[in-house]
Amino acid sequence: MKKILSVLLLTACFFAQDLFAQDKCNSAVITTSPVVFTAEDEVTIRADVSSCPGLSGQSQLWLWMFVPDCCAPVFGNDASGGASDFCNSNDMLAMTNVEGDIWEYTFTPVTLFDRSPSEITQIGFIPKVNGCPGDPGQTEDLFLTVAPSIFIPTELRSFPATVFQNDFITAYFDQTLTENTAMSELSEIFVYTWATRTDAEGNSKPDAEAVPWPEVGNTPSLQTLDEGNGIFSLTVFPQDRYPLDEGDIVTGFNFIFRNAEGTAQAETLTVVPVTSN
Amino acid sequence: MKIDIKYKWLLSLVLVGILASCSDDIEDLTLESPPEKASLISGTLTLSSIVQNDENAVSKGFPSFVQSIDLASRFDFSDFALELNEDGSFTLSSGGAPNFIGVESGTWSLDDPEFPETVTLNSGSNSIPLRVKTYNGLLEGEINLSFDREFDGKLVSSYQLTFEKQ
Repeated sequence: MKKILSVLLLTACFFAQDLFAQDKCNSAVITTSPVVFTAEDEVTIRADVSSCPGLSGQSQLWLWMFVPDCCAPVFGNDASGGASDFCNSNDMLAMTNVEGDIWEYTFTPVTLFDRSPSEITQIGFIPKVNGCPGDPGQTEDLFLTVAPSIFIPTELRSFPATVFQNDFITAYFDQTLTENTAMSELSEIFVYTWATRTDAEGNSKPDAEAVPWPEVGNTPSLQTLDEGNGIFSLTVFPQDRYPLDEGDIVTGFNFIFRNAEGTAQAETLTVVPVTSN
Repeated sequence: MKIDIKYKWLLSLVLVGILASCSDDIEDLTLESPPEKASLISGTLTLSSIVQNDENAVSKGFPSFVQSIDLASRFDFSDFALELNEDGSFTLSSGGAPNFIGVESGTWSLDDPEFPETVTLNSGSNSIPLRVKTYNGLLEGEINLSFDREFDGKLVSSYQLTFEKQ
């Protein structure tokens, strides 16, 4: 009887842990200034944790930071800001309160991690409270992409690097860099493109296609410009290209380079516009 | 020695004669005031060049084909015209091209009528600053403006515009 009760008690405790456990916050709003930065640029991470129960209302937050598969921050000879001690936050990584639940941290990647720009292509970070109070006291793992200090050609790219939703946007496909044999042999390339959007209140709306997929090959304005040397491009002006409504907030411009028939295509290029401020 | 003295007197007489004949011209020479910048900038302006710059790529010295795009080679801006009227009103006609400036009519102004750095187009609640890039070409009817795009207080892209005054 005692054994049965013990087993029942242990089982209850096991599930009780799940009942009262809370997840790491996945709704923190993260921005950087500048939007695009290299490892040698000074960058400010801004975190709005108002939607994170374990972080909202705290008097102080810290960052846990790391370069994936590489290294932790270095402060003089002390490398304790990173992988060595998650539960003992380093005051050198204390965030500055802007107002309410908005926190900032400013750093220069090559200085913080004491690494060369080529070694820092991504930065991982976690806004958290001090200690290890459990998952609610931190966000999930967050990542920032660090732009290269030199131009590196890629199969897909967009211009300019930072766009507003009322800017001209140019999508590029470099045929010489694709591993897709069918795409590498095309002489005429078209683009299927659409915008994802919300209304002014942030509610999702149906995608705004330039034209439906089957009609792309019959739409001359969606045929790319052959710039030579295997480079193909398409420039769009969103207000004229997509069926957007007044007040729409575009969350992404998407481009798929393809043949006229739609039987060969590249990966999707997504361009996220910034909001005017 | 006698020949030298005669030569000097002859030169002196020639110089006096020249100076005497110039005096009337000097008295008639008057300096005209330079034309006001406002009058040079105002009028019917047709867009002859539009280049979009990625200022991040420019600042990092990336290859030129990554720094800028000539939009006039991709869209027909031949009928794109900006009318800056002397009464302070303006109209913008984009023709068949996208109206990337985003306003069509309203009032315009200069931040400094003598040495303007900015032409501002006001339409309702919109205020669009166009930065004067250079005064070069103004006398010949060429107006060079920059439509700058900023984010978080930093210049991220721009449209380099060249207008021809009609």
